[in-house]
Order: sequence, then C-alpha cells, then structure tokens
Amino acid sequence: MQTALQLLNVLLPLGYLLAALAYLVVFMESSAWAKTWATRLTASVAGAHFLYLLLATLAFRHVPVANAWEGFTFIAFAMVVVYLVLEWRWKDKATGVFLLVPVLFFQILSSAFVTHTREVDEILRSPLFAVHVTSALLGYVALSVAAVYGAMYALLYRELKKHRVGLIFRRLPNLETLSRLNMGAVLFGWVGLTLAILLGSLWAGELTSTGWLEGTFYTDPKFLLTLILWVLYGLTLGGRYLFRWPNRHLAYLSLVAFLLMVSSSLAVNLVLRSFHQFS
Amino acid sequence: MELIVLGVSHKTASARIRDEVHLHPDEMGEFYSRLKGHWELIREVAVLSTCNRTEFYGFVKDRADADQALREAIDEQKGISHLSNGKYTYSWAGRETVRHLFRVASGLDSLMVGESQILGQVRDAFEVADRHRATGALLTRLFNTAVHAGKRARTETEIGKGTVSVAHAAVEMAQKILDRLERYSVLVIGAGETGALVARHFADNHPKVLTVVNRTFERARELAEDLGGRARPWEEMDGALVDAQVIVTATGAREPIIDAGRMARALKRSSRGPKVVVDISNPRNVHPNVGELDRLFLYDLDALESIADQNRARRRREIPKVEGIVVEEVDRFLAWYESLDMVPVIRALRGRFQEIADKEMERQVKNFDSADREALKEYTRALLNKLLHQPTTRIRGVEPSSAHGIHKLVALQELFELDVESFQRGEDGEPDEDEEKKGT
Repeated sequence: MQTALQLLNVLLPLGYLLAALAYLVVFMESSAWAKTWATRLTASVAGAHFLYLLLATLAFRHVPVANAWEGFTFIAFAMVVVYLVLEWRWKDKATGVFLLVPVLFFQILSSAFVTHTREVDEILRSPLFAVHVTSALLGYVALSVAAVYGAMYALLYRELKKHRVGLIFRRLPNLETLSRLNMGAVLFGWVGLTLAILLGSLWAGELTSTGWLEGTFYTDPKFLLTLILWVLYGLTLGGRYLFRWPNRHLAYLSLVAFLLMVSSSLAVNLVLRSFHQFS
Repeated sequence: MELIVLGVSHKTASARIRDEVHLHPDEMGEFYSRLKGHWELIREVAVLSTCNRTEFYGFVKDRADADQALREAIDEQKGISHLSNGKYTYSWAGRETVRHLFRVASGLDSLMVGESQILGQVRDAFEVADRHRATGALLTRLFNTAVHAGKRARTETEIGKGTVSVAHAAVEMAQKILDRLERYSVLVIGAGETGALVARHFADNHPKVLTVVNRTFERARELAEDLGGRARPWEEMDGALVDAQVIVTATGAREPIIDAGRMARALKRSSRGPKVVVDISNPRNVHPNVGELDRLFLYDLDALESIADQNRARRRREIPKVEGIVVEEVDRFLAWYESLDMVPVIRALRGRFQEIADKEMERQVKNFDSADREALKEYTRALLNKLLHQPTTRIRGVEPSSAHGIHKLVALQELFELDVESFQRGEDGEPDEDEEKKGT
C-alpha cells in the first residue's frame, strides 16, 4: 500500500500537468481533439486521486487532512471534482485551464512536502468527521471556484462594455455561461457548507456529552465564520432565484464573499483560538 | 509543359469589368467546349470565377500560345476585349502559379482577408472543370493541395476568426453576451433596408421570437412575414422593449427614440439577464447614455465598425503565419511535381525492389553457408535486373511533358508506393544502365 501511495504521489502532479496543458490547448486553439482528451485525462487523474485518498485513509486510519500538506492534496481533489461537475453540467471547457493550474499547484506542494501524520486525535478517525470535513472542504473549494468565474465574468463584462474584442473576448465563454458557472459553483459550495454545518452541529452535541468539547460550539470563531459565509452565499442564491438581482451584482458578491472567506479564515486560524485546531 | 494562371481580379479591374468577365456556372460548359479545339496546346484547365476574380489555371504546352488562346476564348464568348487588350489581366507561370492559387485558397488574396467563402469556390471550380473532363493528374493534385493549404490556414491560424462586417459584428456581440440566440427574443425597430439586412442576420440564428415594430404597421408586417417573425404596432414599443433581449434600431428618426429613462423602465420590468441594443441608424436612434445602464450593452455604428476594425487588424497580423503555410505547401507540391520525371521514378522503383530483396536476403541468409551467400547475392541482383529491365526501358520511353506520360508516372508511384522524394534525396545521377545490362 505504501508503494502504491508513493507511486501515486509522483504520478498525480504529472497527470495534472498534462491535463492543465490539454486545457491550455483548448483555451488557445479550441481544438476538438484537445477538448475530448482534456476531459478524459482529467477524469482519469481524478479517479487515481480518489484512489490515493482512499488508500491514505485506509493506511493511516483517518482522512488525510491532519496537516497542511495532506490538506493541499485534498483541496486539489475537491477542486477538480467541482470543476468536472460544472463542466459536465454546462458543457464548457474553455475555462478548464484556470482551474487545473491551481489544482496542479496544490498537488505539487503536497507531493513535494507531504508526510502523513500517523498519530492523530482519536476524534479524527470518526467516519462522521470524514463526511463533515469532506463537505466543508468541497464547500469552501466550490466557493473559491465561484470566485474564479466571478472574476472572469467581471473581466468579460468590462471588455464588452468597452467594445474590445481581444483575447478575453475571443477565449472566454459568453457572459450568460460564465454567470451560470459562477452560480453553479456557489450552489455547490452552499450545499457543501450546509451539510458541513448540519453534521458538525449534530456531532458537536455528541462531543459535548462525552466531555471532549467544553462549552458551546456556536461561539467557536470557525463555526461563526462558516455561518456568516453560509448566510452571505445563501443571500447570493436568493438574489438570483428569488429577487432577480443582475448577474453582474451576483458575480461581484461571490468575489467579495471569497475575499471575506480568505481573510477571515487566516484570522481564525492564525490569531483566534478554535476547537477546530487539532494539531 | 508549364503550369500557368491568367486572371482578372479586384486588384486589377473594377467591379464592372469583373462582372463582364465573370463566367456564370451556366456558361462554363460553353467555355470548356470552346477550349476543346486547343487540347493539344492546353492539356488541363480549370476556371475559378467569383464576383472578385476570374482566373484560368492551365497545364499547357506553350505558355504564350495558350495564354492567347484563353484570352480569345473568353473574349469571344462574352463579346468583350478585356482580356485580349491586356489592360486588366495578370499572368504567371510555374512556382508563381502554384503560390497564387494557394494564397487565393487561404484567403490572402481576397478583398476581405481571410474570408472563408473562397475555399468552397476553389473546390467548386475544380469539380466543375473535372465534370467537363478538363482536368488531369496535375490540376487534381494542384487544387487538392490548394484546398488543403486553405484549410490549414484557417485551422492553424486566426486568419478567418472574428467577423469583419458590421452586420455580422452585431450578431457576434449578441452571441458573446447571450449564448445561443434560439433562447432569446429579438426586436427590430424600423423596417427599412438597413434594418432588414441586420434583422436577416439575426433571423438566420433562429431567435425564439423575432418582432418587428415600425411607424407604418403594414411595412412591419411585410418584413416580419419575410423573416418568419411577428409585427407589433409602434405604440406597443415599450412592451416590446421589455420582452426582447436583443434590440436592433434602424429608423430614419432625426432624434433618438430611446433614451436612458425609457430603457431603464424597460430593464426594470424585464427579466434579470442582460440586453443588447444594436443601433445601426444614422443619426442615432438610441441616446449614447443608454450604454451607461447596468446590464445593457449598446453597440452603435461606430462601435461595430471599431469591432470589425479590430478583427481586420488581427487578421492582418496572421498574414505572415499563413504565408509560411503557403510556402510549405508550395514546396511540397513542387517536390511532387519534380518527381514526375522518369529518372527519379526509375531510381525509386529500383530502390523499392532492392529494399524488398535486401529484407528477404536478411531473413534467409542464416540458411546458407558463406560461399553460398555470395552466390545468393549475385543471383538476387541478376534476378532484379532481369525483372526490372523491361519496365525501366518502357519508363525511359515515357514523355514526361505529356499529360499521358504524367498519368503513367503517377500510376507507377501509386502502384508500387514509391517514395520518389526520399530516393531523390538519397543519391544523385542517372540509374546505372551498365548495372542493368550486367544482369541481362
């Protein structure tokens, strides 16, 4: 199993590099051949990545998110899953390179420095933790992807308003598609956060009764941050489906929410104390 | 024998002259019949006749005589003297002919650089000539390679990307904002000639609903019927502005008929998505401040012209890349053309047989001792020479400058899968005649 893990650890960045190159060809030349193979290649590498995470979970008896380097490979996997779902739903391949490059970056970081933590808090071995953390990560990554599409929307909007038909105009999909991708990623992320909050809240009750968790979970900074983001993204979805807010406002809102997510996450993790810190 | 081109194009003649020279598809039969009397002189011929050019590509025995025969044939048929007087024509031979056709097929010689229609016209020109039995191996290869070069130019470069016409630019911008137009409604305000032209471009993209509004309802109804849409009275324009995602204005009004206030009210009542307003009237029908509204994209004539200009500039930047493709394809064609000589074909044929013999020898050599191996080599060499003596003598008798001779040499290359170019590169000089005699 160790050999398989080591082999996959080397192969995954190579696979993502090829996938990113294939999507770069799609972006630059829109070639039909590259379009077919970019998706096939990415799906295959994502399959191998799933196997890697499964093997690591079985080998170390916990979801591999116990340290930052393990977390990076998980983020890379979550990002590629979110991208493949969006690509399948809206049939757009022109933006793949913008998502595969960060995927490649996170996987290279992980592959280069990863050391799997064997001894972890017993709580991290719980199956409920696996589902909770997977939902949360998928949620956060999807919201980051939404920000990427939001930025593309803002860029293209500006080009169209200024009557410019440069590289951005020629290569990006049309505004309506970008808006759908933006909101699709927001929806994906919001569902992930909803699941993570629900499972976390249920589980926190159990942990309080066993004495592992002291006090109340709803005053925890990380929980509060997630809740604020959940409300903000929920508002974005409501703006689209209930209040007919213009697409551009929704794209900007997803960008603002992403910036808030990044800055407050840094504050929570580096400055404030939270029971979400396990190491 | 020589490859020649004789032509009249937008670069040498006015539209009136081009129009008078132009050969309509119905006239092609008569033209090819006229040339039948010159088959000894003009072995192969194909005519490319479009609104911007009429060109004659020929594989001819004598350039000057063929040139004159072609000029007389077309002038007689059309009752003109534009070709005979030589004022409007150009003509080239050899490499320049090949280069010219490849540049034409790539869109480099077009009035609108990179336009795609010409590629189909080149293909059609060859098919028509072929139907009239006016082509042979040479023009077949020439036109096939020209089409290949044209396709490469369009797939490997951006010479054909981005619209360069104002009417198309309006559709292109709408598609970049709204995705597929089948899902959206188009409103055309004004039923004049300009409005009809742009409306037709939108109608070609099958919008969900196409509505025409005009001060004279009757004209709106006529245009709507023509385009497969529906007409609404002028008084219902505000409602129509709410319903449509693409609005085209082309009325003769002296003052703007849509200002920011009117449009803002329409946006408030309409769905969440963006609206595209195309104002192709002069003076403007839409006040420029409408373009400042959120989720509204306004394109007037200046904006559309600027978009077309940007695309033209981008196409011009691609010209060096396309010229590179043209040079590559010209070289490839000429290498093939030069291989249609008896010497390289004989060399390639002998080389091919020798390769087969060497391979067999390598397989069998282990079954013989060293003394027998020499005898086996000698036997194989003699056998090859005997087998190839008769075909070699016959090939030497072929006249490569005749169409018949070219057919024979092409057939030989195809029959034995001869790679003449590689054998040409491999060695120089005539095949060794003494070598053949030794074996006989």
